[in-house]
Amino acid sequence: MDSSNSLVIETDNLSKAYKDVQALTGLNLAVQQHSIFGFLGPNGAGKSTTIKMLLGLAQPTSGSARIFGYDIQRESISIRKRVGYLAQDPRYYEHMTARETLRFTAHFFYSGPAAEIEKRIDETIMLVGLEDKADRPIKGFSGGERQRLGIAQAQVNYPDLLILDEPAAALDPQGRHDVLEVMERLRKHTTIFYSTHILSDVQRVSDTVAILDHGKLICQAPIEELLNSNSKPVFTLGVRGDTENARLRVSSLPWVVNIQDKPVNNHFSWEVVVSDEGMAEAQLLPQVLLGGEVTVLEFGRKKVDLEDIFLTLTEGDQNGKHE
Amino acid sequence: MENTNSLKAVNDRGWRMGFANLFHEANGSYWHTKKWWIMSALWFLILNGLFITIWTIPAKTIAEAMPSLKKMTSMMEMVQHPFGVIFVDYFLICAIGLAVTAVIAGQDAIIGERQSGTGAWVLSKPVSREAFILSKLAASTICLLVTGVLIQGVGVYAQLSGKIGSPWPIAEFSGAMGLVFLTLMFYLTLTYMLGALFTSRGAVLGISLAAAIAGPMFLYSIPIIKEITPWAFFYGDLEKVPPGLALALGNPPASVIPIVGTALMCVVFTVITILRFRREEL
Repeated sequence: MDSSNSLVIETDNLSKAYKDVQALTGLNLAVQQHSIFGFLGPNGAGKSTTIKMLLGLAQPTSGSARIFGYDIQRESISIRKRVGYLAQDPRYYEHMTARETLRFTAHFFYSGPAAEIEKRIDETIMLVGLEDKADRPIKGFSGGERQRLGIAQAQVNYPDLLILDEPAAALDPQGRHDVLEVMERLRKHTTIFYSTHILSDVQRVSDTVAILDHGKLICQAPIEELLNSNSKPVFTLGVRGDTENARLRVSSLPWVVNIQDKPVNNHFSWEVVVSDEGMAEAQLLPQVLLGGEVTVLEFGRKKVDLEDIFLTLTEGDQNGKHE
Repeated sequence: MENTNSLKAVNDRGWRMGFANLFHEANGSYWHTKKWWIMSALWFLILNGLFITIWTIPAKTIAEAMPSLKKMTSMMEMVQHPFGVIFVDYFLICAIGLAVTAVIAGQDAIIGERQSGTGAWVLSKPVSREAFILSKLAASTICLLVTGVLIQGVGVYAQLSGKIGSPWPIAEFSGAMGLVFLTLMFYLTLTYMLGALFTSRGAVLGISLAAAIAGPMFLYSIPIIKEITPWAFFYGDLEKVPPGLALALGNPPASVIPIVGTALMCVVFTVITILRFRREEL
């Protein structure tokens, strides 16, 4: 199987405009089979719009997309036969129980035998841990229980692709933990494409990430690659005493690019950007201590996380203001 | 978690994708709640209660009046006839009162699903948009047929036959009830179409109810209306017997154009609903 054959989702300049608002501009995504693909962006970035177009719930203004090689506009039903979808704010028929909801969903995919369908429903209920709530009306379900049911109904046909729109956004920490755990359990069976603005979730479970902002794709890469590509290494120090001389001395070193310092309680916190990581590891601390005028309280290499990258890429000052 | 071969995949194609499942759910949602049984019972009490008055008419009067009933040539004659006036009242109440029931049955079908988000959920499954609309329409149709036509009609037919001591002409009476059904379908499909065209429940209810209550006022000012709406089925020109009442009395209707025209309008409303809903963004 070549790389194009292993692509589950491919979009080609996919765009969507609502009257005067350009919700999505020229999106080019490539989602590999069996990946957990985090679709990241602030609120209003165009994530849900993209998902709705992929599922045929909204039509692109221009561009195209294919899922399993099927065109999203002309062959939407063939796509939906192989997809499970969890909406951002999942809604079901409130008079049904969880089991009835899953039975109703299963009958869109399977016509029988009834015993096998019931077996599938039981398996799905167990997968999301809703055994004790399965025969209660959905009306009384908490947000977390609804989300679990949402994953169950998305998974009842054992889809080749799971599309989850903000699966953990409305949940408390325990609920988020549970949902991510279910996603991790499913990763070996299916491709998961999910949108979120919770960066720690993406870093925890995703293997590939795409960042969307103002309807435009800013970057798309395996998460490790993205974390390792972030410019120059940064070292952090906590120093106390007469720091001015030490600061001047360190600044003059040829492999030091920049120092940022800020007062923290009764000491200073430095972030030293370096061009040579090896030299910094060997020389930075001795150089700071050389004059004996400062005490070093802490020293270490700053870990770059997705939040730094995300804020850099999306110009953090505008984050979340575009919904 | 592997997909097992023992499960048989749904084999539907084209517009039928998801129809059976959706119809089963929509149909169940009518019959598994008390709402429609209560409404049906209320209409039964009202409509059959109206016919209970025939039991107060002496048998001799009925015997004398029966031969003239079939020969009536105007609604004016009917309202002056001890039996005819009950027919006029009954079918007028059917045409207007049950129409409101049809509007209520249809008003939430599209708007409710759109506003609650369940429509987006269902249509994320392998379901055609045509199946989504037609399954709901089929379930609403069955509900109206049973609660608005069959239950009401059987009760009245039993009373009529009981009073005259022999079966009332069943084909003709069924024809009249058929026009009641067509009237209800007109309002049901109109309400569906409005639900697809508008996002406001107020607009859908307002226009549908206005059509049911005020529509007949335009029968004289816009003549074409009587050819394409059910408004002339049971009322209109006092000098003639409307087609619905003619059928109820056992006479053929003077013209079938309003019947065909109304049936065509039901089809037109349904086609517009589907075409509009195909473009709906959820």
